Amino acid sequence: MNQQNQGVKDEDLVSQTLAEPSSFGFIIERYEAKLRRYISRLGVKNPEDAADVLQEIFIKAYVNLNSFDTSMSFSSWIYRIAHNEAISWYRKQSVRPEGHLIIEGDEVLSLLSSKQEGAELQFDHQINATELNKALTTLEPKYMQVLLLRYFEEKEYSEISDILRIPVGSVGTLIARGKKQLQTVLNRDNLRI
Amino acid sequence: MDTQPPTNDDLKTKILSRIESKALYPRSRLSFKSWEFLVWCLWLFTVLVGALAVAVSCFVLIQHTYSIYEVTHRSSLAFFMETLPLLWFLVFLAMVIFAVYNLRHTKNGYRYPLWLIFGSSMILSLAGGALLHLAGTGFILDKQIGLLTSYYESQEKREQKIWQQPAQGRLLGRLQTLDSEDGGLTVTFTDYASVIWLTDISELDNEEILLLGSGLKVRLLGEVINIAPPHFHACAALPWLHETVATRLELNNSRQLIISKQNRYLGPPEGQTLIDSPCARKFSQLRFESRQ
Repeated sequence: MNQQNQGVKDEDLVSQTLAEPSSFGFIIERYEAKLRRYISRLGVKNPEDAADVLQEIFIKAYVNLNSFDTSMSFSSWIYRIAHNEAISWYRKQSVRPEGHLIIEGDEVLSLLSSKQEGAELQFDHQINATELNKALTTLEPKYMQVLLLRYFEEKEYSEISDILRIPVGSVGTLIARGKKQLQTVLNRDNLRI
Repeated sequence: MDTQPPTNDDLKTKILSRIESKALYPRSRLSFKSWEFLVWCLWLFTVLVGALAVAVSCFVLIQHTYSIYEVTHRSSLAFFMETLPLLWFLVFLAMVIFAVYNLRHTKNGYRYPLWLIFGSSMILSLAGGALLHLAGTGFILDKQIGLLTSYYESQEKREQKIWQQPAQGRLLGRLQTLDSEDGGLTVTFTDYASVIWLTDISELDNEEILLLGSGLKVRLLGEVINIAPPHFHACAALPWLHETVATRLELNNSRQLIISKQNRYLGPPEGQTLIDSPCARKFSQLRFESRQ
């Protein structure tokens, strides 16, 4: 990325883009990897499909740039577009969202257990990433999506609320229920002590 | 086949060239603001219609509170079931649901919990409806819709139907002539179906005769003496309270008149009929909760 723009805030890049469209390239550079990883986790596995979806995300972001305001972060705003595009992609493919999580091993596992929301889940650190991956993909999409945003994208509740367009309170509820459902799946597979 | 994802620069170049080749531009801020404004207007509209539904419901329910249902129906339950403004309850409910939907689709509507959005829309409609009712809007709306369409049964139409029941001893209409041959004790009364009744008013009080003589539309409670030629014996004359918004005092006065006349004919609640007349027989058939 252009060194000059590394410290520039997203909001300023948006203003720059509105004045000079080529500045949109800096936004693409900043978010391409994050969004590619996110849609991949949501199930857009094939690299070519991911590239197509990413193109649509950025084009939609560009065309709707004036709808962005500072009542939410730009990151949440563009993640919302990415989320919606990924969901649209599923619909076009007529398939159920099937998570393709890229588990960063123990790092994410310890994050899951350390968050302690409800303190109802104490994960066995011996569970391997593959099993967790498998368990997460069996969850209902609404639970998988919040857990993904919370623990893999490391988003705050308010950001998840903005991305999924649900109240902050519902985010907490979905996370707690998602973790409970995850716990059930893991217990069923004897993966929890 | 190469399955490597496109590089950062590839994607950026593709997107920027697509933007350029298709001459894409960010949609104007005004279009987004207009859409937001439209959604808020729809929300306001639904709240307003909900408030109008509440206003009409308030009007109908208050009328019911003072209705002389003992005269017209077998029980208070039968009366309320028949005359509840169910249509307006449904309109109110539908409008609250639409209001919630619209509010949820405003820019930041998703941030608020459903109960808050539902509660606020409902409270606004209820409060607005109460204010509109106080301003007489409920009465006007109910009456005007009733006049505009035959499919809608306004409170006025419903009361007309209830009070134009000669077989049940109820007539709705106006005095035709006060002059009569027997010293003013018999008059001619034209009912809502344009039937002219020779009406005995010997058991009406002076206030009731004055009301009758005013030429206004009145409700008569009594007994049919003869069908052909039509002959009616009036026991009570009540004002028709649907020309303008009736006050609670006016509504209550009508009810109290019937109760006091019944007391006069029947004496204390446990007592026996004091006077033997058509009206005594009529009032002895009525059962007022306040007398029990």
